[in-house]
Amino acid sequence: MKTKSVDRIMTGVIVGVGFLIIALLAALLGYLLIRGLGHVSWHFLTSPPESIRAGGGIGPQLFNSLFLLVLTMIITVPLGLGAGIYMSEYAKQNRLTAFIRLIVEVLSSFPSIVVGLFGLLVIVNRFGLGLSLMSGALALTVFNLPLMVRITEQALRAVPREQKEAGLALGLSRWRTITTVMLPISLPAIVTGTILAAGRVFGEAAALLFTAGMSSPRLDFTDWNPLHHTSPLNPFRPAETLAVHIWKVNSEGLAPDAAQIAAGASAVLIITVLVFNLGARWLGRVLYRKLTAGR
Amino acid sequence: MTLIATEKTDARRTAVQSAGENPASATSPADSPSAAALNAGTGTVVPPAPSAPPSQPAPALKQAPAVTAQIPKPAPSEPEPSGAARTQAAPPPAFYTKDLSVFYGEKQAIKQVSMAFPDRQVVALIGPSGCGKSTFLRSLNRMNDLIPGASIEGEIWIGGHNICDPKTDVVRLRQKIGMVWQRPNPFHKSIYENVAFGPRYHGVKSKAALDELVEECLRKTALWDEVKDRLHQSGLALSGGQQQRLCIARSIAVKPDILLMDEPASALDPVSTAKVEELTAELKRDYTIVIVTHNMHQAARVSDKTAFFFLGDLVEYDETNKIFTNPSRKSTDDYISGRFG
Repeated sequence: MKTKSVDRIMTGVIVGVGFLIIALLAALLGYLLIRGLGHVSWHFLTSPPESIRAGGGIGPQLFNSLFLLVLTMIITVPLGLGAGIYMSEYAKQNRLTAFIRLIVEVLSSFPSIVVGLFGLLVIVNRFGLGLSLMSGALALTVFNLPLMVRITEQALRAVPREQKEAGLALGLSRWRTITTVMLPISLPAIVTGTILAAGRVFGEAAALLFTAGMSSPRLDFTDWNPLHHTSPLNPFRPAETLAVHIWKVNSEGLAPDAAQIAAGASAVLIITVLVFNLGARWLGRVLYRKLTAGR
Repeated sequence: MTLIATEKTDARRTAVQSAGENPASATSPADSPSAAALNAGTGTVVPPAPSAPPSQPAPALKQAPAVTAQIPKPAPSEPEPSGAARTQAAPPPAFYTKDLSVFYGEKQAIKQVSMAFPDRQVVALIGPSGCGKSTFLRSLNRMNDLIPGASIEGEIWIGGHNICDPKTDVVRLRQKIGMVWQRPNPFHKSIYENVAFGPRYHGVKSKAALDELVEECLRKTALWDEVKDRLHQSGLALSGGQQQRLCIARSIAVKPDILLMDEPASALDPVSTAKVEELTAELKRDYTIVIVTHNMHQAARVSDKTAFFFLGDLVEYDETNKIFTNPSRKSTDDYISGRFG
């Protein structure tokens, strides 16, 4: 009798906590969307911001966020996959790799403002990359990379040992076993992890203040040559991202509709993250099915 | 027991009897035939003349000098030679181990085991849990290398090469030795792809050749009729027994000489088990099979020879018939009659 009632109480508590979290999330999302969505329009999404007049948009910022994401991922994903594969399949388990793992953990929990200052001193000034998308992407790599490494390592470790042995027993080399047997199995986990890492890029502001800058030059959206100064694709131009823009508008915005712009931008940011997550999940499923003949 | 006896042809019976010799005292007979075997590939060689093999060194003997050079230390658990069995020469063993020891860190899991595996016969490894039979099996294709801290001493001679040599190309070695695991582990790929994957990697590119090979392997494993309409569905959608036969098809698709089976039926229902056992009997026409099993009835049903392992020692290794009817060692008898293990 007693075990039963304790069990019932604990079940209640756990269900309660679950609902609390969902309610919190729903309230937060609802608040942001209700406040912000009213302000979102095609004009708002595409036009450049205004500094003192009302009616500014977030077009360049939205583009910058997406472009910075792509740029960061281009740097992070190959490095992270490579290091993750090394850590899980090639590295011996000894003091050195334990130390590397510790460093990686520390790196991923660095305060982002510190990473930002580090980026300013080393990437922006010492390497002379200036306040630019490239500097921002490199700074974001600093804390995205550890995440990516750990995700890849754990995903590969989660592959049943028999699968790996089956590949090796067929006379496949270690590399081929990893790429053709293990990676397809671990792909969903790796994709999910990549989304998590990418989500941080969208939301990150502090590390970008000093590396990607707080201004966006006039962009000419008809010029797609990455070498031109006004081209949106030029990775060496300063670029204010959506999250940085929200912070800036809120703290020092002079436009009369600053509050609405911030709210609208927040809503857009959240929706973008949601769309991106769902899209990446779908992509992961499709890839998995394609590589493994479905289930 | 009677079933085994009737199934065997006379020729095989005589072969088995002599091969039933304990590995240590059979060293010299094992040498020249194995040397001969490595010249002509596996199994196609005619056994050397039945007259005393040591006095008649084949020219190819030089290829395995290390083996003839020294007489291996007798296994601690050696049964007394049974006299009658020594009258005829052994057929060439497909491969054999000499003083093979396997360590996990400090712990010795296999203690100087010398065993010869006759060509195209089924050898069953039995023994209580933790006796080292799986470890022994997994060291035969160097799969134990994957386990951190595992190390190996002694020799395993396959096709004229000591595969314990650090210079061994394990990738090529493993192509020649198929493996089947306790739990079916098909790749997360289609049925077709599970079988075609290995051969394609090893250079079979044409679609027609692959199709043919897939069909052949699936027919050999009696799976073709069950899956021919859904070759491109996932291998994981099959039942456990079908998955296990798919795994066997997968491993024979790369044309190995030897099949290692690690309790291949222990996760299966009785019907599937029977199928896998039938299959094993079929497959021994083409492959030398080593099977680890917990099920003594299974060992009695499928194997030609049986080795009893206990605490890392090879206690007794003889013809299956003899092991199950008249074992030489008391502990074998105790284990088989269910007094422990």
